[in-house]
Amino acid sequence: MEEKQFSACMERMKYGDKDALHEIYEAYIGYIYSIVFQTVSNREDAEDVTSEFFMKLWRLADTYRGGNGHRAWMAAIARNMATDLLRKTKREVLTDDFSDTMAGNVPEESVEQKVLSDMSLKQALDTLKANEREVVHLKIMGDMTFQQIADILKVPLGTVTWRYQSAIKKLRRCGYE
Amino acid sequence: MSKNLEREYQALVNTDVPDLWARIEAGLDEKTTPRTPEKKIYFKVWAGLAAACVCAALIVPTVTSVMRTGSSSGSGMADKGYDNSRAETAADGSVNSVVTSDGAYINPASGMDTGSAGGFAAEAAAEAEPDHFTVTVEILDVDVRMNSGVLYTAKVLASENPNVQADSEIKIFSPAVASEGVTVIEKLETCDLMLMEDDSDDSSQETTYVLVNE
Repeated sequence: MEEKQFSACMERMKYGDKDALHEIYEAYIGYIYSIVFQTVSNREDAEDVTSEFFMKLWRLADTYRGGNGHRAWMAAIARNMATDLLRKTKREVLTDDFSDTMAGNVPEESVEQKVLSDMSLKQALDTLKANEREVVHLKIMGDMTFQQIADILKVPLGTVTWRYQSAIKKLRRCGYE
Repeated sequence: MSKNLEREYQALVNTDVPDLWARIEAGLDEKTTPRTPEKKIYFKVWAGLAAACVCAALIVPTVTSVMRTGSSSGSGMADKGYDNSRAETAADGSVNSVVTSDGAYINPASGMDTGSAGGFAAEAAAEAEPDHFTVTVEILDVDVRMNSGVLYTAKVLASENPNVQADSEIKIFSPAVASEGVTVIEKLETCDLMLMEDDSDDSSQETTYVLVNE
């Protein structure tokens, strides 16, 4: 969805147009859900937070002022809402402070040994660390710059670029470029 | 074999998404639908234009009529002033007496303003000598005799003197001359005059009356 289209939908939502919110929902439900799911790592919680996100977007339409980077704006809101839920439930999940040296779900040695061309994308993504998947998701789905991603994740720019390059290397080994 | 990461990633993300719209819609707050700002703006713009048109429709005709009244009143006043009285020019060009539209004969040289015909008649009657009488005449002919006076031929319209009947023609001699500043009565002029009978020995068959000057 283009910036102008998004702003137009937000403007219509000021006057109670639910169809405008539905248009935004259809365009960005996957984007927002993935961001939230990567943070909470729980489908039920992810659905709760994603639903609350769009309800909050409905209320925020009254004070929304159009500009550039609506994807980054929504990503920041969704991630903050997911983080707030984690604080409430006190679950231990992968955060910004998580060490980059932490092993992922699958040891890297097993990735090298597997028949990479037979790997699905989902399986390839599973080889990534959580923080790497987060950067890849914001980069691909959010179409953001590394600086925007750094601002959302509240990490240095260099950390973002390092995580992204690391993720791309792994995916390239799986045949995805 | 390279695979398009971005395209496939987007497809993967969108296929594994739950349908939450019904849940979201149920939790939306109802918003009152105020009048849109565009409509308000349009309303204000059209209201302003309508008010401007009404003001113009009221002011322009008023200003136009005031300007026309102002331009025409000056000449009208001058015309009316000219019509109200005529300054009769004596033969020598001097203007010293006026014959008004109601026929009154005014001789400012004598120092008496007779005013209207009725006033002249009433005043004259009060001060008239027994042989003086007032007639209302229409001047038919004017014969100016330089240095001797003016002889009028007049038709009597009304008379106090029973010897001078209405519809009769009389001669009226004015002994004043133009050089003395007396203005001649114009032909076809209707006026009230104080006359007396001419006692001079006149062999003419017509009776001549003398115009009394006071």
